[in-house]
Amino acid sequence: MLTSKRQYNAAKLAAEDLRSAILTQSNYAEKSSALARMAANKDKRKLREIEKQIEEYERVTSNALEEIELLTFEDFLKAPIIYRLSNHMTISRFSELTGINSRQITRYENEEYENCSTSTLREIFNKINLNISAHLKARL
Amino acid sequence: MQLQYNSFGTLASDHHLSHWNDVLKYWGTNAHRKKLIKNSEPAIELLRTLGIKKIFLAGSFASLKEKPGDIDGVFIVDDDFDDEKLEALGFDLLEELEKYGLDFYPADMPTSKTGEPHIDFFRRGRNLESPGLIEVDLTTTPKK
Repeated sequence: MLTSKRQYNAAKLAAEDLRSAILTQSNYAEKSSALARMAANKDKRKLREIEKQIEEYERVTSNALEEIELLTFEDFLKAPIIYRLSNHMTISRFSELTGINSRQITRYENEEYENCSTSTLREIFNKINLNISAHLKARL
Repeated sequence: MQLQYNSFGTLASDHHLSHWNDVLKYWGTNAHRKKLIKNSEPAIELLRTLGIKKIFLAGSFASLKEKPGDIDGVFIVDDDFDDEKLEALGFDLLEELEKYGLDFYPADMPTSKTGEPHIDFFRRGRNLESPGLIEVDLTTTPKK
């Protein structure tokens, strides 16, 4: 997930580079049409992924969200990031709010809270007054 | 052999390896890296069967980073590269390499409208530090 304006700007540039790469790869077909096609497919996959991240960042930072929709377990873990970004909070401010060292917040965000303990996550949700209401559905 | 690094933690000059096995010896510096290298071996074998003789490893793998996410790099495509053999595989080579942790492109394939080939992109470096790359000769890698 993109967690800063700097990352967002870098992603926009990367997306632009990928778009132009996809256009120029067809020139490689003179040497290997198979590799040209495969490289274009690879870059299209990468582009889709980056565009998803850009779209997510734009959506999250456009307004302060009153509700964060959780569709996957990963969404649940990303909720503190989404909360911070949607409220246009710096990591420093978020650190003051939660009482967690800003370097640690950065580390958590880099890992999308995958390695954050459940007790710390609970503490963060409490400090930012985030209530959770979940509906679990068995996979068929 | 003592490798030299620049202030960004990338190589100061190319590291030449004559066997794929040497990648594990010099760059398998922790459990994470060892796993990355071992997991990529089927992909390396696939490149060899397609006649690829040389590859360059780059990005965070060719640096002091302890836990690179994958192995970036390029493979050298000779002028006599057998396209038909590649098509006959029946699957997307680059996608298959990714499954084994290799984010690879042909070395001379352009990265953007400027026409800069992938190998030059890696040689430029993220911080314009002109990092060295890990050159690996695949022709002398002993089969298991």
